[in-house]
Amino acid sequence: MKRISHILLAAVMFLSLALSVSAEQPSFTETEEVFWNIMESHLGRPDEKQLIQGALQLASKMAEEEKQMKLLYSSEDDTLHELERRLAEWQRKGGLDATTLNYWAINGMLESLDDPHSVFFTYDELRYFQSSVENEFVGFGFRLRLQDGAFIIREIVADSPAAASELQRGDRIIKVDDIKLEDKSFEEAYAYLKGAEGSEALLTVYRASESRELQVRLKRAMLTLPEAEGQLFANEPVGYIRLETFGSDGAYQVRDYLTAFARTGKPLKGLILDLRDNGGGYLSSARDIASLFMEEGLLMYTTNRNGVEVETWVRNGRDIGIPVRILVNGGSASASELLAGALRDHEVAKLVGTKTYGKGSAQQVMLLSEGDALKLTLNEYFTPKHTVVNHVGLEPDIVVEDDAAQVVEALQSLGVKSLQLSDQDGDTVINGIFFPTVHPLFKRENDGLNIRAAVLAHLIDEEITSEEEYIPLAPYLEANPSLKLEQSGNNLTLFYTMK
Amino acid sequence: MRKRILTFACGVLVTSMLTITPGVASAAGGFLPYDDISKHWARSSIIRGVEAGLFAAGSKVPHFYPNREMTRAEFVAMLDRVYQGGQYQLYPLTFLSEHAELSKGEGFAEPYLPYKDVDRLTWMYGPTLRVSFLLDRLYGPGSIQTVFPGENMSPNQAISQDEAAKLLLMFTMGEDSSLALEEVKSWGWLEGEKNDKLKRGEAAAAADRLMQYLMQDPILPLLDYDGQKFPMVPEIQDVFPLFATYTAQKSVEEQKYVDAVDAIINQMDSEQTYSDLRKLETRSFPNQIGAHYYLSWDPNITLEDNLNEAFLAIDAYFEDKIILPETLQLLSANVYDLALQMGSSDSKIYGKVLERLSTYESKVKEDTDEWESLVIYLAALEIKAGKIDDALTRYRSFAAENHEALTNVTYYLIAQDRMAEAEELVTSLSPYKNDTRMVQLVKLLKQDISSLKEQSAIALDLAYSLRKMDRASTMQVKGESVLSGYLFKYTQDIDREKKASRTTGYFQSPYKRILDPMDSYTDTKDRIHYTYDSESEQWVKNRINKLDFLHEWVGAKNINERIRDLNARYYKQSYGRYDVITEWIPRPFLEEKGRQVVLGKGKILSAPLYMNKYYIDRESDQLIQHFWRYEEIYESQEYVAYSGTDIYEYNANVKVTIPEQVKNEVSR
Repeated sequence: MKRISHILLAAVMFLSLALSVSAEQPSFTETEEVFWNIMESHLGRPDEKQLIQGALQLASKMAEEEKQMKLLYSSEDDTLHELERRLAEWQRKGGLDATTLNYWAINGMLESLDDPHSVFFTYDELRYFQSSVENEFVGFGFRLRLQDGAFIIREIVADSPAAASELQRGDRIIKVDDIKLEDKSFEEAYAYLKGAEGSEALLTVYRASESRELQVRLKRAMLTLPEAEGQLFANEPVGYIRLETFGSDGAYQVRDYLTAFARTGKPLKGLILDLRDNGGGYLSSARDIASLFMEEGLLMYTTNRNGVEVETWVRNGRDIGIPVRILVNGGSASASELLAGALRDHEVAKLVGTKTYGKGSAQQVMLLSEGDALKLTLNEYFTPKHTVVNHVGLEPDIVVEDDAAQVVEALQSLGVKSLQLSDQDGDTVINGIFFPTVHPLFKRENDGLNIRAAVLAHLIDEEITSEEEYIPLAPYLEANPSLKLEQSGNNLTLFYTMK
Repeated sequence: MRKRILTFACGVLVTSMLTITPGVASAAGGFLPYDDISKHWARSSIIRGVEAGLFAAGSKVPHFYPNREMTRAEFVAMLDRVYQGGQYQLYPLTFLSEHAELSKGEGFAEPYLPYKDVDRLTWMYGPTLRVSFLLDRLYGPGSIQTVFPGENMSPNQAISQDEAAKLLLMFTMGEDSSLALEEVKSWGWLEGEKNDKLKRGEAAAAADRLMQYLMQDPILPLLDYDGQKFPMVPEIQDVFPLFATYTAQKSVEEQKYVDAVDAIINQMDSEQTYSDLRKLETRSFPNQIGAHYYLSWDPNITLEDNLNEAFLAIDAYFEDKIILPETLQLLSANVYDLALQMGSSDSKIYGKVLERLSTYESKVKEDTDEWESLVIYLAALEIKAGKIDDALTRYRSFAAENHEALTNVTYYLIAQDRMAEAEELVTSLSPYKNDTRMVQLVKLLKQDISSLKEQSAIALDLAYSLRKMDRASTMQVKGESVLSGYLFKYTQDIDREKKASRTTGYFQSPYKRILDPMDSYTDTKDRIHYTYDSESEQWVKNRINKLDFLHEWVGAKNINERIRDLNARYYKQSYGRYDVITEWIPRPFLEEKGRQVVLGKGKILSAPLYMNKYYIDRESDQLIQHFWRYEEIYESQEYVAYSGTDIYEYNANVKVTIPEQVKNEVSR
């Protein structure tokens, strides 16, 4: 060990040689920065020509589309110097501004990587990206559901402009300023409702309970939505925590729900962690959440383009002590897959749902000199059992396609014997917990009351071969004594008790 | 050039203590921070604790519960906060910078706790982890388990006097964890019996006494690792006094003077500032002390002229015929400070300044405060001028009352190999009980002297463990280090039979975003080094023929040579299962000897820091861990900062053979 500093010095010396590459004149600074960042750090080790051709190709395509300008370049161009010469020439001759050319060149380089997660952000886009990871949004503070062509407020966010107004859950939004929402799609309605922070709109709503119309003027504000929401299932106690994103507060919110569950004093049969459509977030948050499930263990391996593999460990955590099911689907990505993969490898949890997205890479956001930013893929990660996630996704232990059936299956696999399902205000209610859905449980058809076939099949654990999404319920009620339907008012509730 | 005197004035400890005072209402106005302490004996300690940020207070925390038992976690959190305020005291033993984030570690490896019942996402985790990291650095890996043994810390259990003492021991010179409570009681911080539980009020009192202690002289008072401490001079409280009292109604001259002082304080001084002051000097402006003192700060004139003004200020002081010891102290400090600045290029200056400053000694009455404030600088100049015996006589004459004089006389007696005299002097003192600073200093000096008397025994222990390591036939080193901004993590397999070693790992360059791999072989027989260059994907061969760095040159010396040639200082502490030996090579000695060698990096310009900590398993005498921190500046102006931790494993299965492919495929 006495010679160790010598060894270290040798390693450093090679590096300083590698770095002594001369810089170009800085007319397209951000293009240069992005170029060098990709060349030095991107996981895929792209070559120079690929990036330069990508930049030139996109810039000339955009010029043609947006300015009807023909910009020519050579397929032999393969250096940053040549790229900058072309860009300077196009700027001069075509009268194009440097900022636009920079954006085109940068996006061209990024597109050539075949990596959708390496992204260029303008200053505003970066801010939006960071907000969305933290579950922060600009809006009025209500959530809508689309029911028979009507937009109905299904939830009002606490401490929001909507909460401070006279709006109520169940109000139907008729107009935003002068635009009628009738027969509009969800996407269209969203486009009318969104706007900049601080902007106002006049909403016209109809309150069915009072049979009257009212007008409410609201200002859009930056809202921080909870990253996690949790509740206990009714009947047999099972915890439910839904995580929207891995922001900086998520782990603390999950912790608080676990504490609240413990405080009820009921011994839990298990816990369902819902990571469906959770696109990820910070790795540190995933690690903190993992520490709420396991005392100690490997979280992941990370590798980079240099073949250096690093282990990340969870330490000083706590064993959850009850069986865990994690709900996943094609929208569960990145940190979601990391957490689900690690908890599965350590036999803490089983995954229920559909195959995950397959984003087994980690990005770093780097600020560029003009205030923009680059999110670049630097690492690939693997689960503790070295399972590849990237481009592959995680195959659940229990594959279930239907959203509501996933919950049913998860509960049953935790040993829950009695289930209670109903439709309410456009949500599917399973053992007391509301799940937003686009497919109601029941439909009234000419042949009587129909039920969603996938849910019924998982509920009674029978194969149902019907091609139809909905099938008549009556024959099953007759054949299956543990299946019961109750009606109170307009509400139908299906009961099932396993023997 | 700003005067060095400014740095004397910065009480590092005091400022950092103040910064942690929270924004809660101060108890000064008669309000109490809690509603249950008004009749409690530790009331004022609790209030001071709140003011120092040790305890949460405010409308949401109405009670302190002074008679409840304090939990282990609460005590650890309190200690964490005391440490943040008083870390300067421990710096020579931790070498942790003030801003080090202890809970993040210093390299790749994030520290964690050896317990199952203190979880990451709890309020107690951060403070416990920081204290654990600190204990690891001071006493070796897992040392918190010496305080709270086992795999559970039981953080909500009440802390015992003995456990609290084992934690408080870090601030003392106590050298043995098994005697922690005796040591801590001897300082008066705790009063109970070993297994007594500590009450919250008692804990607040302990913290209060500890903070008071931390404001005074530091542990290891005779250690001077950077050559900046001795001769010690008093700390100046106010470097920019007006030397007179002015009312709102000022004459034109007074206004000019006050403006000039303001400009100098705020570093807004210009040539105009000093030409204004100069006009005051020539007229009948009564505050001639001030005028001359501030003219001695004029950067536009030579240091000789500054010095002249500094002496004129002293002349003016004596002309005023008013005894103001603090003023004379500042004026003498000013002269001494200028002498130091001039002395860096001309060491003869000290004798000249000494001669001139001595002329004032006849004007002050011996053994008065005024006299002390002058002669402490005369003695310092005598040291600088090489008249050590004169200085010793002078310091001795008032060592019983003056902290700096006592520390200086002890230090220079020992430096002259007059240990017995030093010991006799310190033992003969019996300071007044109320002079807490003197009581503390005498106790620390006694402890430091006894540790200095142990030097050869400690050196022998260390040399034995180092030899044992050198003789191990195989060994594995796992380490992390930072060399000039590059962060390394490596495993080195050493096979002494095959005379080969292999190092693998990775490093983070400060100029890159991703890690680079590291792979190398060393042939210790033929002294050849093979390193894999991942950029060119080739093996590169180097001959090891000379020492590149100063620390390598030191590393090649055995412990006896370090003591003899480099004046190395050793300090040993026993905590739990480890003996920890800290080694410092004082800067002046390292620089003097280091400048005589030619190194691969060139000649050394300065060597601000060289320290090591060796952690030795007491049972096996094996060196199990080594921490180091070195700073070196070479004549090429290259600054090398190198620090790290190596962990030694003697039982790992190690076999190293350098592959033929590596030997043959090398490029040059």
